Amino acid sequence: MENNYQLSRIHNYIHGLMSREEMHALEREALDDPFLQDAIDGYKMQQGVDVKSLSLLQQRLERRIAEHAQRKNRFYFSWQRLAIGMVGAVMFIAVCTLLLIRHLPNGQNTNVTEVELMDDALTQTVVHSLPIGDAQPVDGWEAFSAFVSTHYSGVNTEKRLKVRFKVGQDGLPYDIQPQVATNQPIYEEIIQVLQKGPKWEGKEGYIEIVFPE
Amino acid sequence: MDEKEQLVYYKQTGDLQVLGQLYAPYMSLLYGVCFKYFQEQAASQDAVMQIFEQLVHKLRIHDVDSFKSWLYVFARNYCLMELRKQKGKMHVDIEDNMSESEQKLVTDDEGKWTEDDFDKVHECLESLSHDQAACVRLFYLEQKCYKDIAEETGYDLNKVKSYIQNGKRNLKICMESGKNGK
Repeated sequence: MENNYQLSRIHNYIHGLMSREEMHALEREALDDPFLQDAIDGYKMQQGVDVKSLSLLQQRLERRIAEHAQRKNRFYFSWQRLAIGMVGAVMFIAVCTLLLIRHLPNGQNTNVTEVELMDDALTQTVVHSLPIGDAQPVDGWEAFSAFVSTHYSGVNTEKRLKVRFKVGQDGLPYDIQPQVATNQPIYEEIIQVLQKGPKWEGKEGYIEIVFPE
Repeated sequence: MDEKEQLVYYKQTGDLQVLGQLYAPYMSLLYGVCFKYFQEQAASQDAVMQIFEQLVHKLRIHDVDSFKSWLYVFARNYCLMELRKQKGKMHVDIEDNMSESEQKLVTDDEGKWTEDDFDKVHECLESLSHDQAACVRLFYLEQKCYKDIAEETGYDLNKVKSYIQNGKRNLKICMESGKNGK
């Protein structure tokens, strides 16, 4: 408002529409306000105030401000998109890492297994005595283990099997009690294997058979 | 919100809407100032918009006390820089402009005048050149407008203006030197 007032004063001043007193007042004001003085000089050079072009200029400023708001919105949206993209990327990397972590140790495990398969102890059945029993195979534990290995069918869910038996005068095992449910096929099989097997020394046998994996 | 609050608010938020509200009232004056330097409509309008663009950044950095005087100085510097850039298109007599630019917009040291000061004014008026003294007298003491003074003295209207401007400045320097001397 004040601005329009000044503008119309400038207009009147330039076109000589002011009284002497008013002119003097404006001139005096302008002496203390170089801004006003320069503006008056400028309009004087332009030979008048062009209100139309000034209102166009106002509109230009308004457009400029509106445009900025739009640009800000655009920025905002693209930021949002970028954020979603980033989250997606992070999740993708996380999933990949998880998969890698899962698969990598697995690969190592199989490697280890392969190496251990070379180990005879794991491919073969091992038989050893348990503390209570005193019976020992005549040919030694190794030979007995090999014997079990060859004669054992491999159909078995047990990994370790404890077997109690007694040794007769003739060195043959009798009263063989595998420590497993009697309905398991391995129950009968072990009894047969032991009966067919080598002779024993001692009186009472308590052994553990460790089957390969 | 007054101007100062708007300035602070803009500095904090960068809200162009607020800057627009600050700037709009000065646009027509600024356009006049720019026209004085460029003497071309399109160039002056562009300058007004360019100054606004610069304010967008400057006002986020600088603390501005008096927006009006700051804006004036900024705009004038902008115009002078632009003219310097496109040398050869120079229309402005720098000498003439420098005398005005030295003036301060806010003069708060007015007010307390003693008897001595009145005597001093007359002394100082004597020390001015004849033209300046005559114009200053007619303008300040007889309260005449430039047009009347020009008619009365026969000087050109622009000459009258610059006599008064320079006379006023010299008078001020003279008065201040007196005060310091005391």
